[in-house]
Amino acid sequence: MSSSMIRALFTALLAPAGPALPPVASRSPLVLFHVDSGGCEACGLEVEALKTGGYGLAEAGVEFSASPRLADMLLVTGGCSRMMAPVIRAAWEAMPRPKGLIAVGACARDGGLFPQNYATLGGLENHAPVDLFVPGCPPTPSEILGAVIAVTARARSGSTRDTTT
Amino acid sequence: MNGGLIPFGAPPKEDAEGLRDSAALIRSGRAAGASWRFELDEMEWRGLQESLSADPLSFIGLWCDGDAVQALFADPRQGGDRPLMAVLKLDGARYPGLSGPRPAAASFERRINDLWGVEAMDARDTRPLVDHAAWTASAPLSARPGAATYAPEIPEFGQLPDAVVRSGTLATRGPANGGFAAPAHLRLGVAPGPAGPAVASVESRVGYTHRGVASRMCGGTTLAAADLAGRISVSMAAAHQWAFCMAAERAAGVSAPLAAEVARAALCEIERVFAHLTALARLAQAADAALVSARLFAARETLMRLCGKALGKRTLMDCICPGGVAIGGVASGGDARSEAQVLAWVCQELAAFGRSEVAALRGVWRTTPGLLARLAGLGMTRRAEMDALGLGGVVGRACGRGGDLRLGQAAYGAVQLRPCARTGGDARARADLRMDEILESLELLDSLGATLLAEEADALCAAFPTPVDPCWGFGAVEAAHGAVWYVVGLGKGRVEQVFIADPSPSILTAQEAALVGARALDVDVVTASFAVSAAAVDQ
Repeated sequence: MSSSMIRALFTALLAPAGPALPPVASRSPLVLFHVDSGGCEACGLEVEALKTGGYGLAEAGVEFSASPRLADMLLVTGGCSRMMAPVIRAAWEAMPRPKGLIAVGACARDGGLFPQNYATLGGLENHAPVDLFVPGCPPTPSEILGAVIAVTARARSGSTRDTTT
Repeated sequence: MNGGLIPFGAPPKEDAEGLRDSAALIRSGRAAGASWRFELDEMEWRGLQESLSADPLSFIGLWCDGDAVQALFADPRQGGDRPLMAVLKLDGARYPGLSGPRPAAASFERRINDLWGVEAMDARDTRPLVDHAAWTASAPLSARPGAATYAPEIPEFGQLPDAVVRSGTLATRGPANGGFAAPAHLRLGVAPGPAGPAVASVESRVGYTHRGVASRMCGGTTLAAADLAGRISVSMAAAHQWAFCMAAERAAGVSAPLAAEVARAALCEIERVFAHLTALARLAQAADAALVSARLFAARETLMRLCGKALGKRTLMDCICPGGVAIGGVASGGDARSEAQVLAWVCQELAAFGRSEVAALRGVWRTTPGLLARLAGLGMTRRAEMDALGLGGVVGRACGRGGDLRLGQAAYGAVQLRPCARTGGDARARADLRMDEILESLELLDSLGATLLAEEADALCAAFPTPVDPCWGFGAVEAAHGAVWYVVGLGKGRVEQVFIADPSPSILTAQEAALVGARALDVDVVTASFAVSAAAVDQ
């Protein structure tokens, strides 16, 4: 699948449709669904540490789901390989509206050390409107949680742009 | 016997069946850039293919660079860490494959076919490994890549057994299951059995995380290549970086200071503890032992926080660079003594942590009701199969195979290392072995820390000028999941060729075999006990 096709696909999928909905990040608890889109597993591991390492996830009002059907936001790690693009799309389609997209790690933004080639798309930056980028290779669990909390706090105080559909 | 003189340069020995000694056969080829690389012609390669079936030479890897295929072996009679490489110049897009006598070659042959469009004759397995028609071209690394092919909407899989088609079900796992391991897909045909539904067929589909790491390394600097080596799989980051740097240093004729070698060994041991804690925590999670799993995750978090505070990195990427170590991101010019002291302090803190917390954790592991009984007898691997695959690491050692590359390394010279082994071959043996290895590594860290302090290092990083003339080097490191090998070709001041052999594809093969016959309820426990890194399979 060419990158332009995938871009068109993501844009179509993420375009606003129907009545205006409240920003997804204002939800409490905010339920995340994690997809590793093809990286070295380090970012996924730090997200796992966030869940299991006593970072006060429940107190922050954030949860992880084992199914995209129950999730508010899709949390993507890894550089988005061409083979994972349809999987991310399927997970995104399965999520209820309103929904949002978080890209964790340098790879998920622009590919990091793995820019676009025959097998990878080089991150989500040019392929989908992402609500939150968390930089780092890999970012620490505190950085990930801090970024998510900042977005939710902004959304709950009503000062965020409604980028979600 | 007539007692005559034995001439030097005698022709390779022949055994009773008329087969030649494989190692001698490779050495009879023309020298190719290094004392351990030999170029064979097609007849000699075919001779090698035949002789391997009755020869103990261990297979390590098989790669292609567009012009030639190159196979790496190690001679177990010479300690197992001295390699021999056979090079065959390609004449067309086919070559005699090696997966017949060496099943471990199958994943390499499949990868070569996917990336270069070069096909192995007499191949054991011709399915694609990483190319599932999602790429922009077929055979993307060859001089003339093919057109992109479009994958069918529903992926194609092999034929299911009759029992599954008649009265069974399909069970699938991944690639996106909300978990935190790298994506891979497992398709299981489940048929009714005497003890409930059991797995009748297994097909793994990998390639979701293929990034083309080795091809990205070529043409760049050794430092950039070392960064990429650290991003093959987080559970083996330091080991991959060490193996790459070892190969690059051997090629360039640079030797890292002994203190740096000890520091590298210490980083590798920390990583081993970290990888085994992760594997055990995920295994306990799969076996519904929530308390044990939580404690294991907590222990891993303690370790990561300690590394984060002291070294500035929670995962041990980018600590090892060509020429030595760069703890704290300082390649050279930093204060070596304080760097070594910080690492020694981390080692000794971890050893103390091992004596208290990990020892208690082992008690919890052993006494949690039902946990060991749940694991016993699951995912059985057999010694003969592991011998055929040449698989070491936890999976090989859990069914009695010996072999540990650490035994021959200078960095471990000053410490007492007793490689652990078990003979059960089941999930319990693998889990027990991981626990043993964690405690052994923590003991080692105590000694390595003391060695680091005693070394009085002036520098932890030697200058590393990348050679202009072509040269080759190899490196091998015992990573958490098994032996990692690198063959690196340098020249023109950059990295020319990188060949990587990781144990993960063989572990995946062993996992597929062990899943057949497992109860459907036990599938997740069995897969967690192997802890295959899909990111390392795909690269």
